[in-house]
Amino acid sequence: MAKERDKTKKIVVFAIAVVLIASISVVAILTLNSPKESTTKVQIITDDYGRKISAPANPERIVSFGPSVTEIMFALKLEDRIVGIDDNSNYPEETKHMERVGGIIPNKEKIMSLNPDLIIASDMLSEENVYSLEDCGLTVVCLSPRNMDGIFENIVLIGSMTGKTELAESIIEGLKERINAVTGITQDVYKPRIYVEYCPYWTFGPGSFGNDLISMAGGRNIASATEAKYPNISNEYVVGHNPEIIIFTVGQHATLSQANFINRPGWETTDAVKNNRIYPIDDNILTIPGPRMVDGLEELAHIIHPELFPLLTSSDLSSYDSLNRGR
Amino acid sequence: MRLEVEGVCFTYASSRILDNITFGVSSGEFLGVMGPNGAGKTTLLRCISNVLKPHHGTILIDKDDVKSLSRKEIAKNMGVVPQTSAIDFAFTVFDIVLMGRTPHITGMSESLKDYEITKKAMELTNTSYLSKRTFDELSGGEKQRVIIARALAQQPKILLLDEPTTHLDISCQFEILNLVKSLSTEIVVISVFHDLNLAAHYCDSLMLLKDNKIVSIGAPENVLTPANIKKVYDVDVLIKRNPFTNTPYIIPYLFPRRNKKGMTVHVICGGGSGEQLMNTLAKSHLNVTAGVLNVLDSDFETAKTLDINVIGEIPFSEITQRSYETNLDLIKKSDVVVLTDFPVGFGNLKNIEAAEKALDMGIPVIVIQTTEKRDFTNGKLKDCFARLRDKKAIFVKNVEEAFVTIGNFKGKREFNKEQREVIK
Amino acid sequence: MMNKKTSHKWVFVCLLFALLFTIVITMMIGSMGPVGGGNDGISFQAFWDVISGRDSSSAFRSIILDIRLSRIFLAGLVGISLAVAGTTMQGVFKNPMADPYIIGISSGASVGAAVSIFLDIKFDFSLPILAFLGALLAVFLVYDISRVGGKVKVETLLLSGIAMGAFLSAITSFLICMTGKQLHFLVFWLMGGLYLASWKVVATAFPPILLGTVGIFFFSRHLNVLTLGDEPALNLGIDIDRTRKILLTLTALVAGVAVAFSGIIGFVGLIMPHIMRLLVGPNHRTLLPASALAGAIFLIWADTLARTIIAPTELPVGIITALCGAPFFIYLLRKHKGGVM
Repeated sequence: MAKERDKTKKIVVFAIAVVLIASISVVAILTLNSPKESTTKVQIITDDYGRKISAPANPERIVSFGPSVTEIMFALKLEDRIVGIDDNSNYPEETKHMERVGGIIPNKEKIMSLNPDLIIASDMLSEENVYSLEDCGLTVVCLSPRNMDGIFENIVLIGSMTGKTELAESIIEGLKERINAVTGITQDVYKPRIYVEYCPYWTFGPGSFGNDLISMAGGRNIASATEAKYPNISNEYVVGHNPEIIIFTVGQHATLSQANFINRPGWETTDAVKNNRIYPIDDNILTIPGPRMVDGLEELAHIIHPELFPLLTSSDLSSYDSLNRGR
Repeated sequence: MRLEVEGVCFTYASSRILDNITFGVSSGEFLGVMGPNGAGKTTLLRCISNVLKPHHGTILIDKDDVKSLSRKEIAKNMGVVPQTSAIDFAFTVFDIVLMGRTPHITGMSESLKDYEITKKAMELTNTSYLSKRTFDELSGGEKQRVIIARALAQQPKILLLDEPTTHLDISCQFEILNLVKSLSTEIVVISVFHDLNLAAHYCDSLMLLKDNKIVSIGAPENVLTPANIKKVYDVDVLIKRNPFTNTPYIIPYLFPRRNKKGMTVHVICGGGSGEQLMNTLAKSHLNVTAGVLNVLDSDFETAKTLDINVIGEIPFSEITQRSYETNLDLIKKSDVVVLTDFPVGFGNLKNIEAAEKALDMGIPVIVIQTTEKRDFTNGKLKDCFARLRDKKAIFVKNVEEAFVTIGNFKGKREFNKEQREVIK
Repeated sequence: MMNKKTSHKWVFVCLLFALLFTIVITMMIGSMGPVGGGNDGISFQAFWDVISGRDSSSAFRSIILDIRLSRIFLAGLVGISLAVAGTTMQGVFKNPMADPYIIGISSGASVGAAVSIFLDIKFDFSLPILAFLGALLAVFLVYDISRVGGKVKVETLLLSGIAMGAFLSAITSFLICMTGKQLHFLVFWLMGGLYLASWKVVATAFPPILLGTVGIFFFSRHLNVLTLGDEPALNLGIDIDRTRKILLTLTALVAGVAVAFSGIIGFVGLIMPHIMRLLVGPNHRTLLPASALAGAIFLIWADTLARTIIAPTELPVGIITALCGAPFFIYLLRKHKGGVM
């Protein structure tokens, strides 16, 4: 009896093993035998992670993964070539009607169904997901600028990949002009102490764009001496450094208002609170490493040195006309 | 199969649990291990099964040092039944007994032979009907039998049991011990016992542990002596013989320590009439003496059992002068004498005379007279009783009245005062 | 006994069929359809074309056979690992609250993943490899600090696991604070998800999980005896130290690989063994394979929900398993107040 049971058990186990192995092999064969992409012209480029990518020479169907990428592409008038964007890209207005392909985690099925020939991703897409997409046979170019020059390089890169080199250069020219217009003046003025907050008690530290922008706009970020890029700051630290101006971001993630700062313990002793120099700013123009960062710079300059930069009064500078504002 | 334990010492957290334990057991022998709590009994079992490693000494199974054997080899030869078993998972009884085959199973699954041995073990322990039940549903006795079945499934040549019957009712106790005893003819059985009488009843040899050492080891009648038991358990006991098995039978001496300063009552009795009185008196804080009694008399036995100082007389003889005088000596030392209702003949008439003498000495005498005594003395008894009445002996109708009267006594001297007053 | 064996056989047959059914059906469900997709999804006709091989080079083929099917297989593998690991841990620790992460696997893997993100290491599989190494290291440490006088007691292991878990969690939190960028991704990874699936990943994960699982199956009998208690197991001839060490290592291997590729997915390893124990009993010979199959089925469905329910955005699968698992666990607790499983 038991012997019979043993025998059936062994047969069952064997059968399962065979079925499993067979199914895996069949699937593997099916997928591996899919014919390779037809040979199209390629260009070899190096992305910001130092990887050498062989991308199609003139990509027509691009997935933009990251608000900064989306904005650069719109600036380069490549919106027709965009087949899909990530969940967080919401500028400009046209993005509202575009296909979404996921947020932190890309929806591979969706992306695949859009048949892209290139994916351009900001560092919003983690390496693991990059490799995962490449495993599906997709081409991914990663952008991760560290400073304003990096942004310019990104614009040049995308421009060169899509045959928009001239437009890219003219955009960069315009941006540089505007930057110089600000930094030229702010170089030699008194730089007030600034505290900027993008999330309760989180500020921009050394190495972050926000920090750089503040310096360029003629301010002294009180958090520039901290250790981390996005440090968490204490009441003590802020009150001790006595900022003259407080700037806080508003947008999707921020929930702050002037009132928050006034009520914080000890803050009433700071110059900023005493003189009621607490201002909001759109968070996108300080954190998305694209052309709008120059808008951010101008806005900051206006907040920090209103007497030197009186022209800009509205906090909403989200108009691409400004990019083409001839100076 | 021979198990040799030589010089085993075990220390735990710097206190000695076992000290130089040495003994040997062979197949066919049932060894009982006893001792007060903390004497190291369970530790000894654990050392034998190699769950604990002794710091000194060796344990040999048929000349093989236990330390050199693998767990599996030990398990093939030794089965252990612990005091209690808690099994958290819902295994069936059959599954659990089948686990006893673990050390013998080679390969992935059990063989037909394993199933057969399991079934047989369950038959032996009368647990076959529990086969499909889950372990935790069972009663204490059933659980214990299942665990024994599991140990038996190991086909052990040595069986170790730790207080196997502690949680069981009397019929279970006997059932299990009978089973174990029957097994012990083929294998070595070592069991820890708390119940001295059970151990004495079943074991071929006993070992008493105290203060981590062996106090005594050998045949039950040699080990279970009042002296040993007093030494080990600090309890006074009386040893009798079990009438069925002729093994020692221990009766703990439950009566409180006699207050030597209390009253002394001398009981003159016989034929069973003094049993209730002596029992009652012994339980209270009174010294009791008795005499003269025929050594075959049941009252004599009662007195001996109660450790009452009693004067015995050889059977089929009348009370000798010597006994009579010794009786009077005892009476002199007592505070009150009680004369119970026993048949009087020429042989024990002197006992009545002794009671008379007591009254002469000024010692109060209580006479229990339930009915007219059977007189085998051709009227002499009547005369004695008349004299007793004259001398103001107190006549009561039963033992309870006697006891109450004794309770009212405040002492010899006091009575004498009262007596003189009454006489006056 | 005959009845039990036959009824067990039926349970297995049902589970196998359920697994096959699951794989086939979930292949059809996804953000691109045919089930669950929008109007621009794959139609049933297109689906059939892909399966039958008529459609040999389209994006649809890639979606169904590459992306989706590999993910289903990964979900199945991870489900098997977690369920088997959980069953084993519950047996070794004789504790119904044990899960596969109990000896520090999850916290070790979290630290490994956090380190890989923090240090910005950029080679393929850097995250899974570091997560796996972190898991193994944590288990090794937990075992080592539980060794007292050459012996490892089960209660000590449990407590060491908890202590090490707390300590490593603190390190992970610290790294999260310091890392700034990619913080979101790490948090997502910690919540568990199978979005990194690809055939490459499945091929990498399959051998160690297969080896580990089969290895544990071989110790079914030992696990049964271990549940009796330390001393009874010793007296029945089991070398408990060696057995436990082997089982812990195999569990670390299996769960470590699972965690490396899928983050920390809770409740599968905790609940599946309980459910299967109710259906097939506590004998690990049948319990382990049954739990494996049940774990695979459950996780494949949970993952299907996770990737479809708010498509195109993805929900971490850990949320789905917790939502299913927690109420069921409470139900279990109330039903078996006596503590018997």
